[in-house]
Parts: sequence; structure tokens; C-alpha cells
Amino acid sequence: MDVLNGIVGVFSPVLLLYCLAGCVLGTLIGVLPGLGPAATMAILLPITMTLDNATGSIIMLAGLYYGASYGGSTTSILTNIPGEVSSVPTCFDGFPMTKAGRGGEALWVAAVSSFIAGIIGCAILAFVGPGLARFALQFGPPEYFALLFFSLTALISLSGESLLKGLGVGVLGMLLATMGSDPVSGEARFAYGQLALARGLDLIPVTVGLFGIAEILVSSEAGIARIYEGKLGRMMPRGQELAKSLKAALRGTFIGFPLGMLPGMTPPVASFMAYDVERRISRHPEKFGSGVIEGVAAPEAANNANAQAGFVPLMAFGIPTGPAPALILAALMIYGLQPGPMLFINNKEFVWTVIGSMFVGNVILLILNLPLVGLWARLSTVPYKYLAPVILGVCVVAAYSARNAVFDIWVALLAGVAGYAMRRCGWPVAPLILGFILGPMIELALSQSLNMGGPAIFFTRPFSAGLLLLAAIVVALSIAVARITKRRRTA
Amino acid sequence: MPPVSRKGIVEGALFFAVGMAGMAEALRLSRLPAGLQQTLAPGYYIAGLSALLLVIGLVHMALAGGSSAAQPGGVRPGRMLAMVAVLVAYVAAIPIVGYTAASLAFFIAAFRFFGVAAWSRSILLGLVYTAAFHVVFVVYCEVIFPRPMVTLF
Repeated sequence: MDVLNGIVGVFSPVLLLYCLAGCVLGTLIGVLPGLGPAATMAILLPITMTLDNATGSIIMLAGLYYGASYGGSTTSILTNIPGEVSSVPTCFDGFPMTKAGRGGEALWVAAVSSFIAGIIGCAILAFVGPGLARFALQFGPPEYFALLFFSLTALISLSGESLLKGLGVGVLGMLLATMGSDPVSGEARFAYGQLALARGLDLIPVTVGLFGIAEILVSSEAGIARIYEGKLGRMMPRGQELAKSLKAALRGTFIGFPLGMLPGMTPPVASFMAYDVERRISRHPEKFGSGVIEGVAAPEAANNANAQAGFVPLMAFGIPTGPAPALILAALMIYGLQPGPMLFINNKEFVWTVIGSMFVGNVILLILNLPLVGLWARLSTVPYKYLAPVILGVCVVAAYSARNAVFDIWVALLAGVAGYAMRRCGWPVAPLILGFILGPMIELALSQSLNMGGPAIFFTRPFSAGLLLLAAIVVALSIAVARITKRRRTA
Repeated sequence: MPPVSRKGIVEGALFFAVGMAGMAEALRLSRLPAGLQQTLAPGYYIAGLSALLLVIGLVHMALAGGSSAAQPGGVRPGRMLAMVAVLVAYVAAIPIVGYTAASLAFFIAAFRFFGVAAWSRSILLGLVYTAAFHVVFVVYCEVIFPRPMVTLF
């Protein structure tokens, strides 16, 4: 019933407009290569704050996040340029389908698979979310610390090729987050007598720089190709092809959703995994890469289900599983909403309206992505030379308006150069943001837990002890898997 | 003897330097009196993170000794540095000439930088974009930018 009330609640003109705006913007950034959902959310976050409507802002940011999962497939299929990292596997078979004159079918399958995954994901979120939140109410600081510590294992999957690099960058993010006042004593840290430094670093300029500005600096050197100008062909696949794609979409959904609830298992991980599973279970794995419809359906469903699943730990525990959910968390906090179990009790109407908006948003996205696909295809031809200055201009305003401080623009600029250097040198950026966001939460939970009963408290409470043990197992297994993979590569 | 990666040594040294700076701050904070009921004394958390960074920096430098000395090829930072210079000038100009005038100059320079060949087109686009940004952010979103030190009117 709550979810039905939520869906009805979205049908107010203002909220519907925010939902539509988020979905359109999400599709737009998904279509345009070079700007991901995390970067756009970071850029738009301070602007949505001026809307003075918490529900509307969160609905818009959420729509932007899962909308990007829909839009990212368009350029992958038509141009072989992935709009998002999670759309890379869609290129493998989507672009060969376009070259074979079946681009319309590939786009139809991508949109419908995303829709199926989105709706199933929303239903599971509505069903599982409140139960998880009630369970989370039993949590004290030690359990939260253990859960946050376990979330740090995401650094492993976000690390890319080198665990050491990921760990280093993650710890650096946590250290940067300590700038400003001590949460308990109030003492200024890393201030060196400067008022601007004593205020600490704000999340928005850091993310705007690391993602937005750095992306432009990297892209300005790379150059973006023009869209494929061939025919799309018919849209809906027929007979066996349709059945095969729907089955693959369901498999992708059930791979992407559980992964989405785990820290660090971001949409790219899920879409690659779903593509790999399809290839393994196929009777003709050798045909993958030449235009197989399951190769489009499964990764698209997986990345959308994964994006939707990220809202489960975010709303139930207040824990983000990746950079984009972390920005939604930041938005909730800016609006004075405490993400976590109490959100389902204290802000019941808000939570169900946001969940309801996801059902509505998925329908909007299906409408946007099926009849309007030609329009999106044309939009992706906008030359980068006209787009990049706008993005940079918005980055500057976004960094400034977070605290109305020119200092924050300098921070964004510095973060942009650092982000550029990190990408060029093969250092992962996502762990830095994860560390920056989780750092203060970990420090507070650690301090509170130690005050409750010293270090032993983590091992005397079953849930915290279990999670810490699980974190140790995940780290050990990851190191072992990385070593075996490295040995096989060199053999 | 395996080739030493200079890039790896520099990266490791950077982490080590940040770790050292963290340690120095942690030491300063640890000299301050701890508050009542405060088990985690000021500086201890920072000391822990900094120690981790020191170790990571040292390990990275040690591993660099055994890794390939190959440097990433094909990177020409010239364009990036030019773009950064344009951005630095833009940010520095905001408090001096104000947001709108600085934005106009920035947009014209950025269009030229990103490949709009004709000056007239860059100026026209700069004017349109500046007007759009002014309407959206200054008028509609009511973002308060610093008062310019130099004004023409």
C-alpha cells in the first residue's frame, strides 16, 4: 500500500516534472560520451539544492542516475563509443548489430531490458527495504563501524589493476576528509592558521574536480568521434530472437541486483559479469562479438538492476555502494535527512514517494528511449567543442555555489588536475571518493564505539565480529585471486 | 638487476610525503589535552591513516624497483596545461572583474581552445553562453558571486 501511495504522490505536477527532468538529463548524459552519472550528479547537486524541495531534488538525482544506465547504450550500439563505462559490454554485440542493419532491434532490446530490470529492481527495493531498515534499527556504533569497514572492501573492486594503488588512494581520501574540525574536540586539523582550510574540504568541489573537470581535461586530448549515420532498421525483434533477449534480460537482472547491494559492485562490474555469464551458458559462445542479441540484453539489464539495487543499502543502512549513490547520500544529508533505518520511520512519505518515482521514472525512460531514440542519436552528434566549455562553466558554478567560496573553485581545479594525473598514470579515482565519504563516518563510529567499551567491543558483539571477519575473508580472497590471475597471465 | 621505474618512485614518494605531513599533524594534535570521555584522542585516527600511507608509499617505491621502467607513451600534457591556465585565469578573474565579465572572457577563450576556428563565432557563442549562465545562475538560482574589485559602470 505504501508504495502505491508513493506512486500516487509522484503524480503531482511538480514532482512529475522533477522526475521527468532527472530522466531526460540522465538519458542525455548517458548518450553523450565523456560525462558519467557521478560527474553530472556532482555538478548538479548544488544546483538542485536551490530548488528548495528535498523530495523533488532526490527524485531528480535518482532519475539522473538510473536514466544514465538507459542512455549509455545508445552510443554503444550506434557508434561503438560507450556513453558510460557500464555500457562497454553493450558495444561488443550492439555495434556489430548496427553494422548489420539491426541497430533498431539492438536499441529496442536495450531499452526493454533496462525497463524490465528497473521495474523488478523497484519491486524488490519496495519489498526488501523496510525489512532491512527494521533490522538496521538494532545497530549500535560498533555494528555501524563494522559495516562501514566492510564497505571499505569496495576499495578492492574499485582498485582496478593494483590493489595497492586503490588502497593508497582510498586512505588518501580518508585523510583528506579529516581536514577541518575534529568531530569530538572541535580542534582544527590541517588548517595551518588559514580560515579556508579550517572549514575543511567540501565533497562537491572535490567530486566536481575529480570527475567533471578531469574528464574534460582527458577528453580534450582524446577527441570524440561522430555518430554512425546508418539506418536503424526495424525496432522490435521477432520470434526466437525476442524470447532469447527477454530470457537474457531476466538473467541479467538477477545477476545485477544482488551485486548492486554489495559495496563496490558498481554497474560496470555487473554488466561485464552478465555478459560473461551469457557467453558461458550460450550454445554458441563463438558468435558473441558478432551481433548476438543476448549480448545486448543481459549487460543492459544487469547495469540497470545494479543501479536500482544501490538504493537498498543506501536507504536501509545509509551506506553508499559507489560514487553515484554516495552523492545521493550527500544530497540527503544536505537536506537534513538522516539516511538509514530511521528514514523509513521519520520520513516515511518521502521514502515511498522516492521509491514510487522510480516506477514512474522507468516508464518515462521507456517512452523516452523507444520513440525518441532517433532524437538521442542526433543529440550525440553535438560537437565536443560546443559542449566542453558549458560543462566547465557549470563545474565552476557547482564548485562555488556549494559554500559560496572561491576557495572551493580552486579546490575543484586542483582536484581536476589531480584527477587528470591519476587517470594518465593509471591510478583509480573512485576509491578516493569512497574514502572521502566513508572516512568521517568511520571516524565517528570508531570514536563512539571505543567510548562504549574499548577495542574489545567489536569482537564481543556478534554482528560486528561477523562483519569484520567477513571483511578479512573478502580481503584475503581478493589478494589470493589477484595473485592467481597474475601468475596465469605471466605463465 | 631489474630496471627501476622512476614514475613508481615518484608516486611512492608522494604518498610517503603526504603520510609524513599527516604524522606531523597527528603529533601536534596528540599534544593537545583529550576531552572528557574521549577514548580516541585527537590525532590518533590521523596517525593511523598516515602510518598506512607511509607503508603504502614505501611498498610502492620498493615494488617500483622490480617493475618495468616503461613510461606511458602518447601523452602530451601541453593541451591540458593550456586548458588549466585558462581555468586558473578565469578563477583568478572572478573576484577582480566579477563573474559575468570573467565568464565572457573564459567562454571566448574556451571556444577557441576547443576548436571553434573563427573569432567572430567564438565571441558570439561566448556572449550567448554568458547570457544564459547569467540568467540561470545569477537571476534564477540567485547564486551570490563575489563583488568585483574593478567595475566599469
